[in-house]
Amino acid sequence: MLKYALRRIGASILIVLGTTVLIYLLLLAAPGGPAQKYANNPKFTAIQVQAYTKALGLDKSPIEQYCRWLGACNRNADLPGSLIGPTGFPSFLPTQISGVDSGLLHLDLGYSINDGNPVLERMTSALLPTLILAILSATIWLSVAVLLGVVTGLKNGGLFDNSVSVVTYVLYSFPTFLLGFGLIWIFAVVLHLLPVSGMTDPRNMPAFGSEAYWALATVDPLKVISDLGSHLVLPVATLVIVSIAGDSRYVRQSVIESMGMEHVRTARSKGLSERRINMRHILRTGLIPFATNLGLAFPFLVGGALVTETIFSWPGIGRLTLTAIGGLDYPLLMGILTLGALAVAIGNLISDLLYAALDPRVRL
Amino acid sequence: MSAMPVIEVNNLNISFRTAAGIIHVVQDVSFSITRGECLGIVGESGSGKSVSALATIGLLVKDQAIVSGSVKFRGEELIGKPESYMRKIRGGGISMVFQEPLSALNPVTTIGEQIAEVLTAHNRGGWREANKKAIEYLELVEIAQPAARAKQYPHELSGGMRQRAMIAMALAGEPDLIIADEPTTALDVTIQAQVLGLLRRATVERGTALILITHDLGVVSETADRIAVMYAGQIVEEGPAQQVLRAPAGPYALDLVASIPSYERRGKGLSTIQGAIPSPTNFPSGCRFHPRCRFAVPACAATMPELTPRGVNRAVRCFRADEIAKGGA
Amino acid sequence: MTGVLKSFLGIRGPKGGGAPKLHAEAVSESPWQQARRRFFAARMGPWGLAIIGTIFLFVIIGSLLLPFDFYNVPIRDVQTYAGRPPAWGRPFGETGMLQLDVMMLVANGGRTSLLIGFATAIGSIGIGTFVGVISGFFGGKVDTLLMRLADIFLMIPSLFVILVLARIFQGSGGGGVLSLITVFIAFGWMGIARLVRGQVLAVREMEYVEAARALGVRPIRIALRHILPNAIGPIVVSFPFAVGGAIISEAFISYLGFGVSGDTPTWGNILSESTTFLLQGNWWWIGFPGLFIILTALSINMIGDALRAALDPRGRK
Repeated sequence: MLKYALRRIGASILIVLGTTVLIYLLLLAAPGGPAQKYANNPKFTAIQVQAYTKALGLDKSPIEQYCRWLGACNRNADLPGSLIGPTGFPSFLPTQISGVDSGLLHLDLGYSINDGNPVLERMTSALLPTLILAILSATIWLSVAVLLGVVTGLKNGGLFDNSVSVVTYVLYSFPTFLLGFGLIWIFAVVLHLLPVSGMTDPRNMPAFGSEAYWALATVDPLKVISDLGSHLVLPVATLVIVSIAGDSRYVRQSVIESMGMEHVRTARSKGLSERRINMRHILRTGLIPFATNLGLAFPFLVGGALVTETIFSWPGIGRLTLTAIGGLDYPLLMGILTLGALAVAIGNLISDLLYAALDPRVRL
Repeated sequence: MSAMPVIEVNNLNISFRTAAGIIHVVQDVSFSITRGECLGIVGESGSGKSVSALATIGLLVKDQAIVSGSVKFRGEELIGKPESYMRKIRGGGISMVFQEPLSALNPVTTIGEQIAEVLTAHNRGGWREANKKAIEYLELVEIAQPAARAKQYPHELSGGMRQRAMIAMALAGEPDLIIADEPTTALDVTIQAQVLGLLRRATVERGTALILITHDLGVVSETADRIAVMYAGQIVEEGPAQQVLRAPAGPYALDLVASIPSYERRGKGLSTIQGAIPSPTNFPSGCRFHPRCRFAVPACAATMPELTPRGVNRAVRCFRADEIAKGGA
Repeated sequence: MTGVLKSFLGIRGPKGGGAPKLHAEAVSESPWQQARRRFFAARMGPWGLAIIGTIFLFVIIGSLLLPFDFYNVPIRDVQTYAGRPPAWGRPFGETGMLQLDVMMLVANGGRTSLLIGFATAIGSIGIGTFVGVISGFFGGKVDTLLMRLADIFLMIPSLFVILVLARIFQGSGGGGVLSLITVFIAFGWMGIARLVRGQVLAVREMEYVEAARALGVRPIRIALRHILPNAIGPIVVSFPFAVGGAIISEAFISYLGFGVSGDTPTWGNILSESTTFLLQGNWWWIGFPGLFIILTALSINMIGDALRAALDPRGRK
């Protein structure tokens, strides 16, 4: 089991790196780009554009650019000389050894083009809001989906199941962003119950994440929590409703399939209690496919829900991604993408490991 | 009957509700078994044998199956009893061994636990003792290294071992009757003999009655005391095993026995029964076998023959049994 | 009531359990006839068809009667910046800012959205089927190569890349429509390819294919006449879902401002400035296009599920 895990981790790292290469090439090959924006602006002379391009290192070959981004080449020289750092050791080794302090391998993601701030900093400040939203949503949606799916599956054909089925069927065809609008309309505009957007009420609260905010949290935690809470309700509901509708149907189907399996009939023929049959024979096998869904939830935690964050002006990674795309801010995009690819790889790993843990037939 | 029967089935009728209407699958099936006796129920697939077995312990889906008649177990009528009563009977009074152990066993639970849960369900100990006893049962079914095996999962065992484990599960509840539905069909021939032998020994030792459902005449000839032959949902012949096999009275049994390949008839063609078993939605009028029967006369299409006694402990469902016995056609 | 609900959704019978198998019916029906009968029996399929048929009609007739003219924004006498609500002359109300008639926008937007949906589905299913058949049929190195390619595409976080590419190619190719379709297809063929490949592999091993080969039938003919017809099940079932997925993706990509540019309306981009006006009370601007999107998605899901039930020989719910 351990060997399997290690092997998978190794493969995942390679896959993540490979993905970054692909995307980097894609971004470079595509028209547009940082220099282009200024090239079309008559206020910039050609020389200025050239200088800008050189300063960003965009005049180097794609391979070299990627190498620098990765941190396997140092910025002071050209390939192949840049493969060795100033200390004489290969650049990709840790900073203390090689003397190179730029690039992914040295935990440097460059600077955001549109903002000037380090990419890492922009990402970390956006991460906390996303984590709050995502962890809360994921917990709610996964647990409710399982519960609902199991109950409707075990009691399928009954009135409860049929009513729930109709509702989930309609809801899971709902695009998330329309649901978000609908909820805003009902609760914010018509009923004036909940705030429309953002994480805090700008009229009487400091901005989220600022010093003043944390100070207020220690002094008056109740106020901070209720403010945050009221701002969380709609975005969480938007994320949660459609996911529950979809996942609970999936769980229900798995449970129903499991109920029809032969070993359930054997269990019944042994005179086991209904509870034992449900827990040990139906659910224990029927919920295994759902483990993959759990793994898939992980990238969501980190990538943020782009559309929901935009609708609700939630300052998380999702919204940051859209800003980066809109401004074609390549370093920021690469940083976010790498995080995303990493999250997908980890998510897949979690799924596989969970599967292996739950199903003895899958031992490796 | 010398002793009180362990189970007495009378006029069992089973129908299914389907999209195409109500289909009568099993008609007027009756049999009884005494302690330690082995009844072999023989028939082609679709003859209704498995359905009858499942019906006795109430394993057919309530909304789909309509079961009527009488199933008396230990003197108590089972049909109509609530689920809570049936749950005690299943495993503890009557248990089943199924055909394909790989799918019949829970793939994510150890063998030992699957045996132990029978014990805990029928109040024969807490989990710790149950797990210990489970190993004893594994030993009983002649599985080597039972303690190690108990911790293994079904897919880690061979087919023969899995089936032995199923038998152990069936024995664990110390039932009065075991119903084995095609227990050896999925096994290699060499293993078949071992498993059958094991099953028979275990039941004889404990005085447990055994119903052996199979399509394989070889299986019943070795193991069964009495045979009931089923065709298209009805019992068409019954009697002591050796008698039915050596001297079948009805046309169906006759043709079945004749179709067994034998070394003496090598070089000559294999004999078969022409036609196919009728679908329950489309049973022939009168005797259900008459379209395929070499002894059929017009009367056979007109009326349904009753299962009539013939000699001691034998019965046959055919108008022309006497002529057949005389060798006529 | 439960019964009506049940048959509306094509839900049959209760608990799974130990009912043994019965013999198949001797009624003779070709697989297509059987599938068609089941499709219409479940009632979900026909309803889905009815809804999407109505939408189609609306879009076609509406866009003819109420054409979209980018350059001629009508000047209203009443200056209601937030857009006037639905009334007799304007059943869907008006948008804010430019105060365009929402019904006109929905009808015209539907044209482009539906076009994108169907074009994407045809393209990705076409390519996917092609790849799947080649991969499954020829096997070996070709198979490995193609499936690796599919794996690579699957690894790339597609939403992300689609957004980036949509942003980059925005404005080119007919207001971005063509490039959007291309991007969707580029990231949409893998699923079908896998499915089809699986089917081809399964069918290839079947005995009647072996028989055909033994009789000397040429590979192309085997592929077309024996393998493809049996692999068609998943293809047909995936089609509606591909259309629905593309329509919804286009909707939110355009809403975010990255997809089709404003000179060609789609259900997505007509929503782009609408959020601020929602807060001022303008619910019809989002409501009606949204309703159309939801109904389209719902009816497509219904058709897809009905197809799946009709074509799956095991008749699952």
